[in-house]
Amino acid sequence: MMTKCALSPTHRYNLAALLLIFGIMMFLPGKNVWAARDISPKRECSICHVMWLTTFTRKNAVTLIPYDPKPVVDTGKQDVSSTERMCFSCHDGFVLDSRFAWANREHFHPVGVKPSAKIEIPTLEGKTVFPLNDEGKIYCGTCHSAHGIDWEETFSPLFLRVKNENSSLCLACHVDRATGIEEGNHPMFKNIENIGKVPARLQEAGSKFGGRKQNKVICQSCHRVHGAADKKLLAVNKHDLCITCHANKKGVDGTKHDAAIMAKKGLIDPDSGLCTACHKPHTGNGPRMWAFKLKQGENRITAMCLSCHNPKGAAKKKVISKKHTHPIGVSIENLGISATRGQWKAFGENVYVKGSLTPLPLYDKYGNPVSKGGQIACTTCHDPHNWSTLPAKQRPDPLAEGDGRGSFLRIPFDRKASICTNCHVDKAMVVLSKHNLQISSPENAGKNSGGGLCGDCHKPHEGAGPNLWARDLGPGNDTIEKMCRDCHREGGIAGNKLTGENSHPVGVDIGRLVYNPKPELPLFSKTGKLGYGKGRVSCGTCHNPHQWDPRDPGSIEGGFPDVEGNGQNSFLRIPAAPGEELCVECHTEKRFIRKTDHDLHVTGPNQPNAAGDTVDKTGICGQCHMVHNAPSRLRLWARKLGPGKNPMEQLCRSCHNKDRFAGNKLPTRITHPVEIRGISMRGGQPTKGKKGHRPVFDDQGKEARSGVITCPTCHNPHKWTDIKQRPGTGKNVEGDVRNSFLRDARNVDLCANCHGMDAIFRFKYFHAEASRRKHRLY
Amino acid sequence: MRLSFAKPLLLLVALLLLSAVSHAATIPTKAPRHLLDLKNSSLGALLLPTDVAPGKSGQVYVVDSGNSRIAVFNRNGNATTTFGAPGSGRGELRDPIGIGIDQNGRVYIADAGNKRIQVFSADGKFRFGFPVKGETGLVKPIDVAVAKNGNIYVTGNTNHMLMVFNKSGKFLKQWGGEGTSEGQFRYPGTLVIQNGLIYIVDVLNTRVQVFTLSGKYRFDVGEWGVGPGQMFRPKGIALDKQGRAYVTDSYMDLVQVFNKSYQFVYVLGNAGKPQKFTAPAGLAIDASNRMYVTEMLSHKVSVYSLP
Repeated sequence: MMTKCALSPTHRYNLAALLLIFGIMMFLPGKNVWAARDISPKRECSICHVMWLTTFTRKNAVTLIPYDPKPVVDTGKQDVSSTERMCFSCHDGFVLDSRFAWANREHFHPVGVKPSAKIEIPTLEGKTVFPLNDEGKIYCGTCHSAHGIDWEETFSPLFLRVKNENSSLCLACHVDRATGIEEGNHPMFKNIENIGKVPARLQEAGSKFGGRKQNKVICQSCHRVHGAADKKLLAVNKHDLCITCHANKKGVDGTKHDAAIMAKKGLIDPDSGLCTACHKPHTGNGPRMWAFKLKQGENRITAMCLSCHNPKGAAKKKVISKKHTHPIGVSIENLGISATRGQWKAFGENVYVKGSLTPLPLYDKYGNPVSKGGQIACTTCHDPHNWSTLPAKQRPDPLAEGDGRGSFLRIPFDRKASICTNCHVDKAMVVLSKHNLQISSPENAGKNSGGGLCGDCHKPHEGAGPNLWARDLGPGNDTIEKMCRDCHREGGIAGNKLTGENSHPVGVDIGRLVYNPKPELPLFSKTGKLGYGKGRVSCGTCHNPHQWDPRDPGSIEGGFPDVEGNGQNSFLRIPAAPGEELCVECHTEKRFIRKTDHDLHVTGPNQPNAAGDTVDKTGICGQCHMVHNAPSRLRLWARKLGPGKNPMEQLCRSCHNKDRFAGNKLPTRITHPVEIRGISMRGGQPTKGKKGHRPVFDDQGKEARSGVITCPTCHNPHKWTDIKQRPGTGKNVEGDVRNSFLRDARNVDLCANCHGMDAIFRFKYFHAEASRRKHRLY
Repeated sequence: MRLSFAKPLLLLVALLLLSAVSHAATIPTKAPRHLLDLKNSSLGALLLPTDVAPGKSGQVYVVDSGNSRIAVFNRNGNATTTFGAPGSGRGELRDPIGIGIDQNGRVYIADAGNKRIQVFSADGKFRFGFPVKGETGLVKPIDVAVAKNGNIYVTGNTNHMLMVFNKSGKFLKQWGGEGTSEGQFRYPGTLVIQNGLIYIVDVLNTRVQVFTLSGKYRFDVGEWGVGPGQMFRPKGIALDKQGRAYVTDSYMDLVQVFNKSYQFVYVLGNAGKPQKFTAPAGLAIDASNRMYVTEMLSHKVSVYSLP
C-alpha cells in the first residue's frame, strides 16, 4: 500500500529539487571540477586576487596557503595580488618573461621602502597618482596596475599607471634628476647620435631611448627599473656604463684618473664607478657634472682640474700652481694659428709646419668648448680620459710616473716636439737645429721634463723660471742671458759656443742708442719678460733659439752637430748677412752704409775679417764689427788694427793704410793735428745724432764731450753723403767734398764749423804745401 | 506527516553543513628526505634556475637561466662544468627555460630568448639547433622532451601549442591553441614523456593535460584552487618509477603528488605542513627516486630522496 505524501505537489517538487542538488553535491569528490573549465571573470580576477577565492571563506576549508584578506574594493593599497611573488608567479618566463627583473633582484627599483624626503609624489585631483602601501612604502602597485590603464590612444602595455613616454613616469617623481646640464644633471632628450649610434651593448641590456627616432637620451637609457646590472639601477655595470656611449673616454680605465685606482689609494669612495670619481651624473657641479666643489674664480675647466691638483687635493703630488706654468685662458691666434670649425691651420710667412695641425679643444672664458677661436685650458693639451695616445704596445704604464708618452697628453711630448709645436708653430724648426739636444748633445737629451725635445729647456708646469725654464740659470745680466748661458758657458753643454769677452752688450736699454722706436726685435725685462719696443737688449733680441735659418724655416743645414754658423743663420731672428738687416734694425742710423765704399760687397768682397770670413758670411757690418768674440773691445772691431795716434784712427787705418786693401784711399796729406781737442757740443748742448755733430773721442776711442779730433770727427763711416738719405750707388766711385763719408757734407762749412772764417786759410795751410811753406805756424 | 517549506530548507542547510564537515581535513603530507642543494656551478652561483634533468651517466643538468648557461653537477652535487653562454650564436643561449634528455643522453635546451631548440652532447658540445617554427612563425619555446622514436616535443609559449619536430628539427605537427577546453592550453609549460604519454603543465588553466604521442587528449590532472590537489601556478612535472606525478606550484611554493590514477594523494611536507620551496619550477626524478626541484627565487636546486 502506498502512503500518500502529505506535501503539496509544489512542495514535493521543491523538495525533490533540493534533494537532487544535495545528492549531486554529496557525490562530488570534494572538488570544484567545473572551476577549471570556468573562465568566468571571477576566476580571471582570482588569477592574481587569490584571496578572493571562496575556498578560503568556507568553514573548515583546508587550504595550502593561509588566508590574508584585504578589502575587495580598490583602495590603491597593496593586496597580496600585487606582491612581488604574485607578479613573479607569471613573470618567471613560463607565462611572461620578466626574469631580467629578478636576475639582479638587488638592482631593482626599491620596493618595500618609504620614498625619500626628496621625492614628491604627484597628485591628480587630490588623489595620489602613485599609491603607496598601507605602511607608506613603495610596492609594485605604486607604478603598475594589473588592470591596465587607458592611455586614451592606447592601453597601457606595461600596466603602468602613467605613460612612461620619454621617461615621463620616472620624472614624475625624480624631476630633480632632469633639470639639465647647467644644474649638473646628465643631459636628457639629447640626440645620442651626437656621440654615435645607440651602442649595441645598451640595446642588449634593454636600454631605451626616446623621441620619434628612438635616439634621445632618457632615464631608461642608463637605468633599468628592473633587473639592472648594477646599483643605482644601472643598465650596464657602473664600470662600463658611461663609456658604453662615451667610448672616447674609455681610455681612463686603469689610469690614475680611474675611480677604482683612486679608491685604492683612499682618495675617493671605493664604490664609485669608473667615471663617478669625477662626474656625478645627477646633481653634480656645472655642466660636466663635476663631483667636487669647483674653485671659484677660475674657468670651469681649470677649476675642475684644480679640484684635485692642489696642495690639499687628491692629486696633491701633482700640484699645478700659476707660477711658471703654461698659461691658460690665452688665445692661440697670437701664435699663428687659426682655429675654426675644428680645423686648425697655421698662417704667417715664417712658419714651418709639416702637414695639418691636430685640432685641440679650446674653450670660452667660462670653460665651454667652442669651435671658433677660443682659449687654452688644461684640457687643450691634456685628455683626462686617455693616459696615452700611443699604440698599445708603446703605451707606458698608466700607473707609473708620467712622461711625455703618457701623462694624459693629447699628443705625445716627444723628440719631435709634437704637442708643443702643434700650437707653437713658429718654434717647430727647433727640431732641425742644434738646439735639439738630440743633435748637438745626445747624452744630455731627454733628461728634463718627460723626455720631450722641448723639455730639454722648458717645463710646462712648475718651471724653474720665466719661459717655463726647465734648466738651471747660468751667469748673465738678465734672465734671458742666464737661460742661454746655462749651456753657453764654460763647462756647459754648449761650452764651445761662447760669446767671448768682446761681445755685443746685453741688458742695455735700446732707447739710449737706437733711433727706431719700435724695432721688430723683442726686448726683455731684467726678469726675462718679453716686450716689443720696450725693454732691454738680450740674447733673445737678436737670436731666435728655435730657428736656425731666419730665411728658411725648413732648412736642415743647422741640423748637423759640426756645422758652423754665420751671419746668415746662427739662430738669428733677421739675417745679418749678406746685408745689414739685423744690425740696422736697432742701429738704424747706420743703414745707409749699404752699397757705399764701406760695404765690402762693393770694394772688397774677398777681404776677410779677423775671423777669416768675407762679407757674404759676415754681412756688411760684420766686416768691421764682430758681435761676439771680437778681437777688440773697441767697437767690437773685426779687423786687424792699423797704425794711428788714437784708437779711432787705428780702426780706420785697419783698411786705410798703405799696406791694407784701402791703401789707395788716403788723404794726400793727413796733417790735421790730432792733438787738438775739440768739444762735441754746440751751444753747450750735446750734438750726437744731430746735424753738425762733430764727435771727438777720448783716449779709449769712446766718443766724449771733449776729446781728440780724429777721423770720425769729420767722417761718418756709415754714410757716404749727408746730402741725400740713401745708400750708396754700389760703385767704387771717387768722392768729393759733397760725400766721401763727410759729416754734414751738404754744408760747405765743414771746416768753418770749427774754424769759422779762418777755415779756408787753415785748410790751405794743412792740406797745401805752398801755404805751409809760406806761413809755417807749426 | 505534513512538512512545511521551511523544514526542507533547514534540512538542506544541515546537509550542506554535513557535507562540508565531511570534506574538512588536515593536509595530507609525506616528507621527502633532503639530501643536498645545488647552488653553485663551476662558474659561479646559479641564477634563477628554471629546469633540471638527470643525465644518462648520473650527472645532473641545471638550466641556469639567469646566466643563460647550463650547469652540470655530479651525483654528489659537485659542480663539474657548464656549457652555453649568453648570446645568439651557435651553442649560445638567451634566457633558456626547459631541458630534455634523449635516449642517447643528448641534452635539448628550450632556448626561449632565441626561439630555438639547441642540442648538445652529454658532455656539453654543441650538436645542432633548429628554430621553433610552428605553423604561424617563430615561437618562444618553454620546454622540450624527446620521445623514444626521436621526435622532439616542444611547448610553445606564444602560440599555446604543443609542437612536434622530427629528430632533425623538422616541424611535423602541432596541437592545442589558446583556450580552456580539453586539448587547449593557456601557456603550456614544462612537459614530460613517460610510458607513451605526454604530460603537459597547462599553467594558467591550472592543470596537467595528458596526451598520447600522436596528440590525442587522454585526460587531465588537477584543478583551479588553493586546496589540496588543486593548483594555482603549476610549473613543473615529473613522474617517479611508480608512476606518481609530482607537480610544483610556484606561487603556493609546494609540490603535490598524484597517484597512478591521477588522484591527489599528498603534499610533500611533514605532519600536515607542506614543505616550502621558493618559487619552484621545473623538477625531475631520476632512476634512484631522487627528486631535483628548481627553486627559482632561492637560486638553487634542492635534491631530495622521495618517500
